[in-house]
Amino acid sequence: MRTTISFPRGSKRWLSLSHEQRKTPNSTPMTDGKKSDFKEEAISFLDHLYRVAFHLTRERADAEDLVQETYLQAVTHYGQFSPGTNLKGWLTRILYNLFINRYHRDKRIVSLDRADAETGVSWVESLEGSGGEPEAEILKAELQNKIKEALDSLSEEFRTPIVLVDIGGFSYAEAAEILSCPVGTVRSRLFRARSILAGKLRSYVQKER
Amino acid sequence: MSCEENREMISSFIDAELSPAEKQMLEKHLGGCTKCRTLEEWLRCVKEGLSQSATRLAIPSSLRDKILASLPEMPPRQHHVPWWRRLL
Repeated sequence: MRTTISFPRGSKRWLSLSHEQRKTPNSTPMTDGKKSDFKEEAISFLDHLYRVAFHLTRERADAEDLVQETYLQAVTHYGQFSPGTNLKGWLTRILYNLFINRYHRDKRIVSLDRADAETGVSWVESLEGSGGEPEAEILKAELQNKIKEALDSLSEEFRTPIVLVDIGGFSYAEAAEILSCPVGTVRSRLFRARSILAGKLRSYVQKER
Repeated sequence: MSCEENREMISSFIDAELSPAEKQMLEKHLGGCTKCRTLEEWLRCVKEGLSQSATRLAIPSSLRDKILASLPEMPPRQHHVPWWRRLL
């Protein structure tokens, strides 16, 4: 069953403090130096946010809009960020919630492909003891070119944890915080998503052989 | 533990997200199960492929410049002023 993370229209949920931030409230006003530090540090995550946005939206123009909007929101509401906490995670959470609010409202998200969820991992059952490994470096390089195509074909439910952990470099706990879901959900969706992707790549290899 | 029970753990293993006890148990299983080792290879291939293809992607310089130029001045933080101080 699809679990949709949605917020009421106009919700400012992404502005709320994380659990960690609530434990250590920021009582010190930000000086001018700290303001420019915030801006400078936030700018250092431009490439990271663009990669995440590009793989979530799958469209260059949409990714550009999303990153731009994320920075505007972050600067406007920087007072709600506690200096010294996870700025990369805070920015990514803003970006993810903008993505959810905007794209789900516009119904531009492809719904979960049940075929992927149910049969995408069935190839694992047919694994043989040996001989099916992606052993050659050349093969690995070729697979990298196919992997973006395979990732884009995944439903959002499976694509999002992969984007946060494998592309964004977040831990399971950080990804769960951004997605507002349990760590166990991130763990199981990651396994299923990777299995689906591996199955797609394996079929490609078998066709080429 | 059966292969099926270990599969999800293989994915967490490649992310270094297992407890020391789980890791030890899985490594023992992988040592004797070629089927699960093959699955591990494929899952690693997916993870490496994704992270390597992602690092090649950088924000277009035109967008970087546009964002830097369009960022507004940061508004001052609002502080609570007690009512009695506002009378002074």
